Amino acid sequence: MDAKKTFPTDHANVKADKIDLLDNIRTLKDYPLVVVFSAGTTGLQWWIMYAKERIGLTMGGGCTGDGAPQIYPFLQAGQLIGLIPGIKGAAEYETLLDAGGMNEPGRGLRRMGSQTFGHMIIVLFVVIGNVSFLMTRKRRSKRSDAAP
Amino acid sequence: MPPREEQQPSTNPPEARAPISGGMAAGLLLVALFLIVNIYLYASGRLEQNAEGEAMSAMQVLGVMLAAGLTLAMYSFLYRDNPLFKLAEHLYLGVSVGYGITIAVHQYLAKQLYEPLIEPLISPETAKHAPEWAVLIPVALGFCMLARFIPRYAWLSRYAFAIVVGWGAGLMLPQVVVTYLFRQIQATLTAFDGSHSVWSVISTAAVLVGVISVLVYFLFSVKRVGPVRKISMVGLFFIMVSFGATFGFTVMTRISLLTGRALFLLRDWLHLIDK
Repeated sequence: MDAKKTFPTDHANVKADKIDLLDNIRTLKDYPLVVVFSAGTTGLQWWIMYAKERIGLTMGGGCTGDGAPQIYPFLQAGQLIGLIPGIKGAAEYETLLDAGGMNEPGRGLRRMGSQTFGHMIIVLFVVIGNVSFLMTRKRRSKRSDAAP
Repeated sequence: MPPREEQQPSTNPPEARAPISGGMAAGLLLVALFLIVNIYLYASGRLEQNAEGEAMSAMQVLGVMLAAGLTLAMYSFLYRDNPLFKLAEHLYLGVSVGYGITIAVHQYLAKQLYEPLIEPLISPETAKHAPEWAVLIPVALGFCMLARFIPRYAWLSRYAFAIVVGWGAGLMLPQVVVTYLFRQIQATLTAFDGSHSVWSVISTAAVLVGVISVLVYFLFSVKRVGPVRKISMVGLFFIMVSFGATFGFTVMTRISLLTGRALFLLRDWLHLIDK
């Protein structure tokens, strides 16, 4: 199976034979590293299932935040060498690039401020909700105790 | 049977209906305001360049205006359901379906059927290869699936579905077992082989305790008393932590989507912020 026959052109209709990057690539086994970015988790899980477990490729991944909890076990099991989970992962990646002197902090890092504020508001609401729930329950139990 | 009473005409005068309701007036006002803002932005030249300072074509400018309008229409649902939201919602669904059909036509019908089989048949002098007759097998299976819509020939679809399901199960099951079961069990135990750091061992031990206690929590064939109850309570704690983490990540995604749209409105559309 030749990848260039299956996908003879790229999205801009450039022939696969004309792309220097694909000179030594014939099958999936020829890729030294595969990094899959997936909106959700399904695509990434399928790639782990086939590219990693069947063919034995080295794999990394990126996914949206809500799918990250389903992907973390693959990272811990060593099925992925790295994971960029949502905007948090983007900010971490930018920090690494910055530490390596490769780039200045980008959009991901800048948007962590609003993330932190949003999470603090949610935590505050959860605390308020729980405190009010406990107070209501205590008041009700007092009333029922006082009732003849 | 008693005679049916004839319906008496209402003596109340018909309610005078306003030609335009308050909600509709507010909606029209917002649409007018949106148009005025766009005209001002275009006339002032703010939409000539995008956020990166690159010149934009008329179509790109129109795209930014349209995207801003649809974003605001979507968020108008925060007030209540309204015709603008309905319009944006239906447009979104329509575009999604249209995009999907276009992808299917280009990626499957054109590349997998037209180019290998039909093109060499209808124009053999310009074709780069001989017709690939093997393509007819999946085409026949595809038609068998569509036969489900004709009751008389619906039985044909069973063969196609049988092949797809059998093929899929045979291909998937071994990989699913290896990926989700064997590798995960292996990863839960390998940290104890002495070659890992103390932190790694502690982390893996926590995972091991979590896995066992959660499995005990879902063990419904044993009565929950004594140690089983205590272990299942530990499992419940781990499940709650897992739900919390999932909720946290979901909140992160939603806030990220919100900030993305806010950034688009403030930077790409209104040009109120630089980056």
